[in-house]
Amino acid sequence: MSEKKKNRIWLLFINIMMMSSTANSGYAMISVMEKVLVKRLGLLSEEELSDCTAMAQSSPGPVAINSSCLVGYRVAGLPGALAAMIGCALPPIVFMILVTAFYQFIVTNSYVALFMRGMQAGAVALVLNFAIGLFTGIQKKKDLFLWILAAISLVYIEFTGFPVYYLALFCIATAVAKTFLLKKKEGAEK
Amino acid sequence: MMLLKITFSFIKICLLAFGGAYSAVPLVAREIVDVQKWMTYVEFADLLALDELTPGPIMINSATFVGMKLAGIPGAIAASLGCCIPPAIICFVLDMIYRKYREVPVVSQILQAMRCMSLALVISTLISLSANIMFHGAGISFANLDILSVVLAAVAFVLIRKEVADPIVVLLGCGAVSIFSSMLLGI
Repeated sequence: MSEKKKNRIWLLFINIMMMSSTANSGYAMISVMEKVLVKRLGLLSEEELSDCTAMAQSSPGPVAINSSCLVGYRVAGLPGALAAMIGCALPPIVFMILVTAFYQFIVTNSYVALFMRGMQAGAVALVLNFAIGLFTGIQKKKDLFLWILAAISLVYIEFTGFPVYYLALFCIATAVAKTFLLKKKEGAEK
Repeated sequence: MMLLKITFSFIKICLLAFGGAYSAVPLVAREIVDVQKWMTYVEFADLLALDELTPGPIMINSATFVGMKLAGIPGAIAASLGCCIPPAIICFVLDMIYRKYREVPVVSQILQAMRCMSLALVISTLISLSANIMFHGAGISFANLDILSVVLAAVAFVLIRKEVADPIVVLLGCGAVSIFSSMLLGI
């Protein structure tokens, strides 16, 4: 392995570990990835990251793990994927082991509670920032169909208790149907 | 034997959980409390509180917590591996298929449709998160409004959006402001 690639992997590992130690959801983490990995370090392009996150969310499991894994692969191949996954999983596991061991102390310490209160407010801002990013991404396509699909999805998630994978199947089905309808239309125009 | 059982339970939970934290919580409750009877609902509430206190995805946090309670540190690691490795492999395979066939129109249409779903999921997460943090999960009314959280979230949003500061620094800053405002202003 070349020296340069080794450096990339270390850079990725340390940055993902830092993100994973502070962000408390996958979405917050994606938002930080955009700032740090794309804009500051230039390890991958915005387009690549957005492919990774869409894929990470449409497959099962923790979004943070899925997206780290895919981002790692794009940055430095299979070793990158492994490094990113370990970097992402290690902090929560270590923190949680410590927290479970010192549970009584932590829940009764008011400074810890206050610090967490502030970080949670910050997490709302991170998720909002990420939502706006997705929103503008969809807006760029200028496609009414996508907005209708987003609205249906939101109603489904907020107002029915059904599992999300039915919704995922529904989205796939509508996308397939739409592709065929478009093809048919093109054929008719020719 | 117990370790294998824990790992298997978390593989099951994570393979069913699409779309992040809020779809995982009911799955964890069903498997751990109702099916396996490894803990009670009261202990499950502890888990949710601890998840708030620690960074990281709730799936990994709950796996570590349950594993730690049942079988100590080896249990915690077994459970966490169960919830990280199989989803990562599946995601990887899906991604390989996607990269190979990305030029095929149907694949890009599917990915676009999935982005719509993720927008909906993020909005839904945002709603639950704001309700929990800004109104203490006690219904949306002015009396329940936590003004400090609203101000912190607004300032943090501007700082992150305008790229004034690193998001990690912003988050840690929010925590520090929260402690100081409680000590100095009593809110």
